[in-house]
Amino acid sequence: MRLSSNRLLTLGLPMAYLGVFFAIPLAIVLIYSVLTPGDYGGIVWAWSWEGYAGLLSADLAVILLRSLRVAGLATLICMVIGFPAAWFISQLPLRAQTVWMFLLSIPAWMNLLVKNYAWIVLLRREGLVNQVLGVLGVETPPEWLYHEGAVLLGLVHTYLPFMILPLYSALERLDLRLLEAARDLGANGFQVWLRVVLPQCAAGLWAGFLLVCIPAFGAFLTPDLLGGANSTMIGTLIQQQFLMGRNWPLGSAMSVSVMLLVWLALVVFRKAAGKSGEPSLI
Amino acid sequence: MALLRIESVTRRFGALLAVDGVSESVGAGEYFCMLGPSGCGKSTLLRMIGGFELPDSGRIWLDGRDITYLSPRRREVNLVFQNYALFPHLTVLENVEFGLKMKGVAAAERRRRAGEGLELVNMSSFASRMPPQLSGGQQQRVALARAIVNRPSLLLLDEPLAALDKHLREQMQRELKRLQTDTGIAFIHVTHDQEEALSLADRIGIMQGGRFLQVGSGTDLYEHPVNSFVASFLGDSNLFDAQVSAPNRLSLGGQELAFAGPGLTPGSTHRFLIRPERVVLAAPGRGLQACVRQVRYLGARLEYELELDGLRWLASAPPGPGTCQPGDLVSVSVAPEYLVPVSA
Amino acid sequence: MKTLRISLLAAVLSFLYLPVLVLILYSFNASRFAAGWEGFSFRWYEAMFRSPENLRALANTGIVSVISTLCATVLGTLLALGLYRYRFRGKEWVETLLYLPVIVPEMVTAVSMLAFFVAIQATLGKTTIILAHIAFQISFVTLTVRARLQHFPANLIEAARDLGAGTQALGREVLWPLLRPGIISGALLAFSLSVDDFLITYFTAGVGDSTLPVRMYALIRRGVTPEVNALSALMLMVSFLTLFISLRTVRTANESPR
Repeated sequence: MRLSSNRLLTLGLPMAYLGVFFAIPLAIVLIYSVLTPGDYGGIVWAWSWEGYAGLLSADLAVILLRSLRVAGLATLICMVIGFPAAWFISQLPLRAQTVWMFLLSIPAWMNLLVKNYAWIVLLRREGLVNQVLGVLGVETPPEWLYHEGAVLLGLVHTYLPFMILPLYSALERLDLRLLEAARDLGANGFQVWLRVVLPQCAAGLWAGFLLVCIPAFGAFLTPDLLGGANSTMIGTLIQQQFLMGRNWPLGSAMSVSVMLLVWLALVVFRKAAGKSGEPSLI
Repeated sequence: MALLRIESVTRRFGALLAVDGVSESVGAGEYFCMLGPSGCGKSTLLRMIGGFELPDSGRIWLDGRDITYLSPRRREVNLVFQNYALFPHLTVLENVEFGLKMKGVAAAERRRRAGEGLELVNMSSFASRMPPQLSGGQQQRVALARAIVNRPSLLLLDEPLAALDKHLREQMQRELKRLQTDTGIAFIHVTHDQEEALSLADRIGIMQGGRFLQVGSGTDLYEHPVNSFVASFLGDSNLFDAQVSAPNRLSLGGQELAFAGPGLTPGSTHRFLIRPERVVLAAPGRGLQACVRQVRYLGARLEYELELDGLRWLASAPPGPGTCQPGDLVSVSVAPEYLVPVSA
Repeated sequence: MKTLRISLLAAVLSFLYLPVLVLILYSFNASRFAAGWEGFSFRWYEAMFRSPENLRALANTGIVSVISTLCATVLGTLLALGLYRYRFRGKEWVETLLYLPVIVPEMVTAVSMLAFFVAIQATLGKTTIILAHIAFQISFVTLTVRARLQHFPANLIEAARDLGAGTQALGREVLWPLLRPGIISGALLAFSLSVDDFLITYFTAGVGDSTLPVRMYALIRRGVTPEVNALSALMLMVSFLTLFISLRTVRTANESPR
């Protein structure tokens, strides 16, 4: 093939990099998941299903279920807030739309640590919220931090912009004449929403779902900083296996299961997005 | 000597044989059209001449020089792309200057020649515009100027008018023809529009399945197509099978009709072509009888749909007194030279 | 309806901004105990820059983010061009590989990087952080540059070649001017991902190679201090600056295509 040196440079070099430094590491995790844990961390090169067997323990099931529940709830809350917000913005005059979307995209660029830390500053025992409550006469305010609710709050705060952005771009493209046509054909308000608006922005909903649910499911910082002992999530557990518990095969098996779940979500996404136009992940 | 010579060029894409051993030549200053349905291999052949695809086998010669594997930038050939491919970050003038700049032509000379190029396509007043600000037809003119200022000996045009509306297309056809005559550059123009090919080309090559079925002047192809594909691809046609009764006679509807040309074996069945405008209608009487099924008024002419011995024929005639009505019986006659045997 | 609309949007906006604004405000509080307000002061910013650990973390962040961004921008841009230019068998697989870093949960990426570097017996340090950052940045650069490429008429590269452009002229006269805004926004995205990254750095860093986020994490775990507030404000500053430059680039690119 002519121009083969160009082809090697433009395709070969970056692909090789991604292959070596991204695909191979993932493959290594896959391999580690079926090996035996070493006594002091690391692995021993002997086949074993111990890692996957460890997944079946009751403690782990609780944490896995909690991760699914928290991620699912966070996504749901983001949708419930994000959909009307995106809809309202898409109905504003064009200039106002730009301004609002600009304002909403800034938080997407804010550092995750900073966003979570901000809640600690606000909500800790001697934080601003409790001081204000104290002035108002509330003597024993509830414990705001270090439980599942706080984790949920942190996740919603972190990922809400990532729900609104794809929803807005789907709703912005919505052809308003279709709504009129549906009304003209005798649909009531609810039917218009269910049969016309929702299907048209299915791709946006799915993109929002993926952008919120996947990182929330694997979150480490938010549960670690805002959660307590009873709100550990799968991300923390994986981290512990690699850096503290030192059971690499178990940690790898967990990572593989997380990947499988993500892959499942993606397959469903592809099917759903395929029905309603281009997926827009970025 | 031919300017461009293509020698048994073949190109496959996987299992698809896109261009199948094509040999053809184009003379200097000639306007050659490659006409065919989409997927017939005409664009692939054009891209091989331009250097954007390489043939699997065969040779391409330009001006006596083998250019088969020469990179596009070293060929004295320029291509006008279907979607114009104007550089969106350059002004119209800078777009036209681009090729000259690449050749290292000095700035002043470049500017002058680009200016002339724009004048040639009547776009001088748009020199400082950006391409996205132009209409489709204007972009087309700039693309033409951009190619022509390089003074290639051969200009390739890949469906250049496909994206334009009918009115603009006809206007651009006239301009293309004028430009080609004025510059004396040989044009190879790929199109699927038969009227475009007929109105522009000195010679037309009809392609199907990666081969030229027939190459010749518009009149040749229209009057004497080699087969029914060529006949039906160019213009309206009445094609029918009939028995040959004598070397130059066929029998149809109980009548004998004469046809010109070398005779055929009596007793065999053969396919014949008659163009609608060559079918002459008269008041019922002697000869071939037909019944008028439909009459369509098309402004410049009337089109009749006839039923004739179980066949459906089209006939066209200028409107005027003596117009037939649906249900009328008519007698049909055909001059022998317009009754053309074609292969199936 | 109108009131509902405005109040919902206002609520969303305050929810997103207020906590962070309070945090920034507290970084200027003179009080050591972040609770009460005792006047405006820059003392915590001074304290932040006096700590050698903080300065080292800042330097590390600078080194890691600049080097990784440069490499990832080059590689990512090349890949975008290659995918635009060539058709080849297995292209779907490349696309899948391209989306992997975007879609794989960060924790999984982080542990796989750690496992990889341990497997090849690399010493964890700035080099491993940089290598890991490049790996997840490339995709974001490629996707950004590609988004810009898709706005162009097809065949631009062929047209340039047809008019006699060699590889250098093609790059200088056509690709760079056209792609510059895309490359810059891709680079800035990659930069901010690198600067903000905690997890992957945390897993691939050796002792003493903390970047700012890793340093901040260690400090936050110890408790709320005004110094961390100042560090947070610094991090936000960097993000805003990056976002600002990025938006300017895109805007100028949209206003005049030149």
